[in-house]
Amino acid sequence: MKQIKGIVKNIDKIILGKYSTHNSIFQNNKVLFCNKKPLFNCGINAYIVPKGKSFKTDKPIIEVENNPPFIENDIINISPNGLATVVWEADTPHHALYVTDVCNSKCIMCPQIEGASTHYNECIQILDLVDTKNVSNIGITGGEPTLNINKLVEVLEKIAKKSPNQKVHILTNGRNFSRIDVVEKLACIRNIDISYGIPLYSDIAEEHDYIVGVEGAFNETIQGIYNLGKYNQKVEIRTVILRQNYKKLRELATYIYRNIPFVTHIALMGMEYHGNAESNYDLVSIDPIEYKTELFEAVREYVRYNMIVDVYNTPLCLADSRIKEFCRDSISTWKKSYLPQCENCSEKEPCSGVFETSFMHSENIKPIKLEEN
Amino acid sequence: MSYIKLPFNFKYIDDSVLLVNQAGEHLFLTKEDFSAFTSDVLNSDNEAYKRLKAKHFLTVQSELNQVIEMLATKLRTRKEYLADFTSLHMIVITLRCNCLCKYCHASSVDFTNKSYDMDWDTAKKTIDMIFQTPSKDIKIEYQGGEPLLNWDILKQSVLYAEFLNKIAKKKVGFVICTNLMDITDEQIDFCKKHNIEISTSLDGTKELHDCNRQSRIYPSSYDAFIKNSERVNAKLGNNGASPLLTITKTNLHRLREVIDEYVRQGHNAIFLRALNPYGNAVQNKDELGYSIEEFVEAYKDALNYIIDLNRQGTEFTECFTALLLSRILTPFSTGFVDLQSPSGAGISGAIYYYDGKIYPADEARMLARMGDDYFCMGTVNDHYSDVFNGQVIRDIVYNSCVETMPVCSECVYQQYCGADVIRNYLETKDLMGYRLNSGFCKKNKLILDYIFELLRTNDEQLLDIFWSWITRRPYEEIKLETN
Repeated sequence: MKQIKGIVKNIDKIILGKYSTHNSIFQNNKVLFCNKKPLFNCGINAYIVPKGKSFKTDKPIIEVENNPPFIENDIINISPNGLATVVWEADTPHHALYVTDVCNSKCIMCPQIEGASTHYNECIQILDLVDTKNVSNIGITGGEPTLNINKLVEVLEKIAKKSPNQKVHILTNGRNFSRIDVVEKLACIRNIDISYGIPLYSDIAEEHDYIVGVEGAFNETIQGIYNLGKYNQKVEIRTVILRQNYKKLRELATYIYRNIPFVTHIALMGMEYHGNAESNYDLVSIDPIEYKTELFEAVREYVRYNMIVDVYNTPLCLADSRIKEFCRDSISTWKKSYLPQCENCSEKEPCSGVFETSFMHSENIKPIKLEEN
Repeated sequence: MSYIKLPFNFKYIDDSVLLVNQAGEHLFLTKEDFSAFTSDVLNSDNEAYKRLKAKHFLTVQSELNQVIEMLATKLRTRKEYLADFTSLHMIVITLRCNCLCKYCHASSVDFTNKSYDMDWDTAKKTIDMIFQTPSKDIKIEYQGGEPLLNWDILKQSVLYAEFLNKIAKKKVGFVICTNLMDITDEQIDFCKKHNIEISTSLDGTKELHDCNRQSRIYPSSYDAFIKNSERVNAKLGNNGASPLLTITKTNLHRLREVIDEYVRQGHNAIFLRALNPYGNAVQNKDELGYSIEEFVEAYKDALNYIIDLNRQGTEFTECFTALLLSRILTPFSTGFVDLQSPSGAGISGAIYYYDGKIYPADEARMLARMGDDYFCMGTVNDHYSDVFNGQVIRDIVYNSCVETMPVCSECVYQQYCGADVIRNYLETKDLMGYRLNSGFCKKNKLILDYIFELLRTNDEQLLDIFWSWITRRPYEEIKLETN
């Protein structure tokens, strides 16, 4: 994630603003990067200045050592500890709104570090600052975004108002959708195209619940998916592959086809070794090369069923070559990296690479040579 | 932990047990696991327990309500054909025919006898009746005799149906079932213009075809068929005329040749169906008939031959197997009128006879032609609700739910099968019939036994081929290869 830390003054709460290097008088809510105090200083929320160029002002100001990594019109969040983070990148058509740190599941391989704060209001403020007209997709993630359903509806209504029929993808465990009134609230929002990415790890409750860390989660999620189906909502199934479920990916495919064949997409996902996946490494870790056969068989099953399936976060050298066309370059640019040996790989271009955020990587990553194809 | 068993049927096969539940999901267990399962002592960390739970053969108290709801949803999905009500409407536009097939189920009459033509008044009322169906997706299929012999009325009725549909706005499709003997350019052009599908008959090579399908005019019906089907295909595009096979003693043991002929003529599917005991097929039984066992053996051999063709790169589907596979391997409803529970007779399909009488199925009018009008639901002069909510259709539904019929209710293949009320009535004078080892039951059981035998081989290439049949996609699109 693009961020920079510096010495900050005049700030007691989070400041949001639009990053800029020139001081347009038509622009409000600016975070201005400048060398000296501008004459015209209306519409500025905060300043970022190079080291030694600080000046007297009553507005928040950060003094930084290096040039900020931001580009014009990035939305920046400045916190009282002096950290400036981009929360909405100007140069990508895909955006994510991180609405909450709170979650009601305790997945043993969750890469997110759970917290107690929520950011629904901040997200609404971000949406106030940005132009969403040319945005192809807005992801909503957390934590569990549906925990405060009224606030989530507020965020979605804001999006629908700003850019009607906007595509929005919500990452949720789906458990709250076991209450039909929750589904109804979301389904009633007009002028928005929502899809739900919901994890399912096993075809039986005990195994799914163990991974999710909550008894009864499987049944809530399945009921939730049925309720979404009743309201004709688009549902994507996301299955993270870990030690506990890799042997039964094919059976899970059959379960999905027989019970929820209306889902629009299935994503089979490699792990990001961060957060719980890092602390539970010995318990959950598995090298993709170890489930090569199981992954191939699961993909083949979905293909037979004529369901749309993709494989995420799996380097091509670790997957069966017969499912290469299903392996997506899925890792966000800011999280993606390649290992030194990948430089000699002829398949680097279409490859997902590895998570920069993972604390370790498979020892079996090796360059694919063009001659082999 | 104690578990609750959910409804299922089962059958011992060799050293294992096949189980099928109400949602049509199946699994095989060893005898030991089955015995433990049914004695309520199967351990929850046993793999068999997990498979049974995932497929809803067992559940636990805390999940019971939800699992019952899910089973109900799956059952509703499988029975979705009921919601559509009557979608297939067949019209016997004439009984006259220019062929004299030995097995003719319809008992056609000589092509000069015009008193067996449907008149315009009846045709118009027939179309009016058809458009009263609640189904939004209807297919009007012209049968005979040879429907093209009453061309003017056929043509007028198509135009009239299109006229009515300007207001009704249903999805309407037309099919003409013709032997193609005398199809004219004008008729082909009309079919093209009005998007009418052509269904025809092909019994194999020239020798096999001419043996049972004799023309009242031409020396070889095969030669006339080939000449005209080429004309039709040239105008309507590939597979313009799709043929239906009738299996008699003549070609039963030569199905490989028949299949080769189908492939040679560019067709990519065949329906292997046994001869039905109606019309001329009854009179010529000794010459044409065969036992169920003989049929099933020939079916298996032909199916294997077709599978091998697919393995070698020729895409070709056996339609009956594809139908049963869909029922076994998919959660969806399958619209095959002849094998439903309740029977599709009347509620999925109906046939309008040349004289205006309405029957629930093709076989019912064949029976009427043989002198038994039992299944007549009424005529096109009656009210729609008196015909389609009348006693005949009610009796059919009451007597054709395999879930409640003795013997069928306990059969492991119940979810994949259906009832043939007309055949039951023909054989026993009772709609429910005596199905214990009736020919119908024996045939379906033997075929399903064989399909499960094939599925159990876990031959992945075979499964890819089967899925290409089920989902009607090219095999190339399904098989995963390194490219």
